[in-house]
Amino acid sequence: MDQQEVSSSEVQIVAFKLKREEYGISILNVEEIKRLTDITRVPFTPEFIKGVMNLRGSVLPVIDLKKRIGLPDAEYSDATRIIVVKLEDITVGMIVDAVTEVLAIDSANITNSKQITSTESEAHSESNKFITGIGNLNNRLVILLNLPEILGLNSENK
Amino acid sequence: MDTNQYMEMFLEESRDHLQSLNEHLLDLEKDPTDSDAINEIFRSAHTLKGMSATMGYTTIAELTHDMENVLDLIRNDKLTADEDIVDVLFKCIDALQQMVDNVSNGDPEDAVDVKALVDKLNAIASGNANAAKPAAPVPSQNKAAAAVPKENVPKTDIDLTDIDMDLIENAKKSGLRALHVKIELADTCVLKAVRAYMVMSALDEIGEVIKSIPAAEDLEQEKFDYTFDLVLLTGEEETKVESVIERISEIKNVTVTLIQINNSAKKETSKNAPAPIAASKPKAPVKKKQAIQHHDNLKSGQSVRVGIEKLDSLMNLVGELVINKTRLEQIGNTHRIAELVETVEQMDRVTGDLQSIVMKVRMVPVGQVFNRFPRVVRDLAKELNKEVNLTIEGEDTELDRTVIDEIGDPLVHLIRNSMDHGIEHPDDREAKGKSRVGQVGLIARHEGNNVIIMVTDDGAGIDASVIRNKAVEKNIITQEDADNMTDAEAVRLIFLPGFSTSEVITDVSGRGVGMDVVRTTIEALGGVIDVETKKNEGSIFKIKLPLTLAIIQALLVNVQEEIYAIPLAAIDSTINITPEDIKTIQNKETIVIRGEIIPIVRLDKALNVKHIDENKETEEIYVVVVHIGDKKCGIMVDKLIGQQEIVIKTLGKLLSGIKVISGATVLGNGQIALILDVAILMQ
Repeated sequence: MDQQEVSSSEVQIVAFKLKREEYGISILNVEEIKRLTDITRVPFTPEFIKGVMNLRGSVLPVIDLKKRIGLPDAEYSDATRIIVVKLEDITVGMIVDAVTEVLAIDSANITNSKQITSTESEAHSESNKFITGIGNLNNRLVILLNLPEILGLNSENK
Repeated sequence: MDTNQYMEMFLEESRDHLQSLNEHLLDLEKDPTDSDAINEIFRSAHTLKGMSATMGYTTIAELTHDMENVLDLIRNDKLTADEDIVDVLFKCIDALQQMVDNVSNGDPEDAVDVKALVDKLNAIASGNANAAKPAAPVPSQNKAAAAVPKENVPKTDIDLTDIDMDLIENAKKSGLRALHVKIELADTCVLKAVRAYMVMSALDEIGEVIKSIPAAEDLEQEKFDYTFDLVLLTGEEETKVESVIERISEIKNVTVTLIQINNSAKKETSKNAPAPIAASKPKAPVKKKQAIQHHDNLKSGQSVRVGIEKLDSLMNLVGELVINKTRLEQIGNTHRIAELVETVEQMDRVTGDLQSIVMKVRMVPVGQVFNRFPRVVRDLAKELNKEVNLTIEGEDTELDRTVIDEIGDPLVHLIRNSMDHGIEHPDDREAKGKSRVGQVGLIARHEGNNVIIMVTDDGAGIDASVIRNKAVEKNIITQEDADNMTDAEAVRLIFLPGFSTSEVITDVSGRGVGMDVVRTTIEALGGVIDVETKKNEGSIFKIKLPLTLAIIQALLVNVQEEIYAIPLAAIDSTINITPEDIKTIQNKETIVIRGEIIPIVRLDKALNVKHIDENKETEEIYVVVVHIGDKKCGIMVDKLIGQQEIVIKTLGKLLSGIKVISGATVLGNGQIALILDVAILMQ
């Protein structure tokens, strides 16, 4: 992995906004970033699955990331983007409020999410399972998302 | 020697020959005097031997060689292909099959123990050979030198198989001579393998190395002392060969001697048998050509083998083209550009042709799958102690390659099922007044845009009442349901998951052994399976499959803001009705079309689509009447858009498991339409 050669402790993430908070996922999982396009609803899918979109001739599932991690709904705007991510053999589009930038965070400045939550129950709460840690970039806090969990083909997808 | 590039060819051809062995051995079993069959068997075994020896699979070569000895005796009427011999030969084919599979999986071929088979073959060969006087060849192990009387062997101490002999003889006809090159490396030589390689490549320039002792792989891995032997086919003189090799350093000694073969001493076999193909060194273009020619003789006509993934991507590209064409069509129509419309019409024809050709290329006769069943039936009949006659019809019927690949296992299942549970024991059959021999049929035919494959038997049939009881007992249905069911409906219960438990297998009826698996596989292919049965007269399992999977004709309909595609194959008709036409029967909405009562499904409700704008009560309602088998159903939609060719795409892993939607397609305007699975929708 390239960035490890640059600096063994630096992590590159794509940062984006959901509401007022800033989130991030590893750049290695990001295929491309698209503007919002037509999305076809698919019946019998969980609410967070927005539908499918046409990505250059292939059919791509799109999830509403805010709905997925339990944030309140909001209108889409001009800044709304679809981040196309790939994890193993699953490619998915994720709707975010806005993409901010690509950040390099020293892994020393990433706090494991379990350390932040004060109680046991909080650590296992619904919203926390989507978070792997918090990156601190000169007091700018970026919530790092647990992509496998977000795309997880777990029970709630059935 | 790098044989990897020939691996695929080897595997495919081996499988062809194994198939041929199976087929003709079955013929031979039926008629032990069938000389065509035995000749074909011999030919296939011989070719297989040559190919495997070339590729370095000595165990396969060894076994086929010993098979040949027995086959040769049969061919020369010195031995009769009785049941025991045929059984042994079948076992040999199985062992060969296993070895070829091992090779294909990257396992060592010799993981299969052929010792017992080889011993048996030798016993058969020698036992009868003795009786049949010395004219018969003496069977021997791998190195067939013994088959040729010693004094006729060239005055070299190299062991030659009859394949080598054939090669040498063929070469002789084209003016080449066979030389035995014995090379001794210097004791100080460090990289022996490299020297050996240099010798080989030097000799390749002036001729063709057809054999090496030890084998090429062993040479590469330095599995030899300081000497090795080569057989070279060349037009050059011995001295020239010597000088070529002497130029390589670290070689202590070279001796080159001419190999002469006495024609008459050669086994008679090779006269009838075709020239061995690709005997020793596939690298040599000469022999590769032979291999292809030989293949042509069998298949007739010129052909190219293409990997299925290449065809798949070709199909995808054509699919894209169709989508783009549709898009251009729309642009032309919207903007009323006459020239564009004309051009697109032209393009339409070309893409249409292209598509049908690609489709045809992907089509394979279903016989490819059917061919293995005579053997399956034979073995199973023996195992079950039943007498069964298999008839195959319509093996020329063509199906998409992807379908062919998947259909084999369900068919095996159905055939096993028919033989195990359908066909009665001969005595029972006689008692019922049937002939002792049960009939199992495997029938394929076209029916519109579908291919029908049927597995029929004249056995006991399926007892609906047994199925009913079983289903109730297993809590699949309630007693009430069971009582309300027709016999035909009850019989269909065998396709339900849960019916296929081990308990059922041993039971009276036993139908339903993995039938849900069969159904799932068929449905995954876009097909349907149904069963008709009559007690004591037999059963018919009917599979209906689409011709191809990738591109279908569909009717596009509107529900709310979404567009859905309904496969045309499932559509009966479309009609307009008014709200008054809808009647309810037991709270189920139905309509009457030409005296037929048809249940209605409101697509928006069935799909649980949220309404975007509240339904204005329309005067006119559009209904698409679909059918699966004999069952019909009306699907209520908001609007009919039109018929169109669509390219089926999967929804991907994340969205897998949505039963009503079988896939999606990209329309000309870039919009996505979901494809409805009518069979599921009707349930």
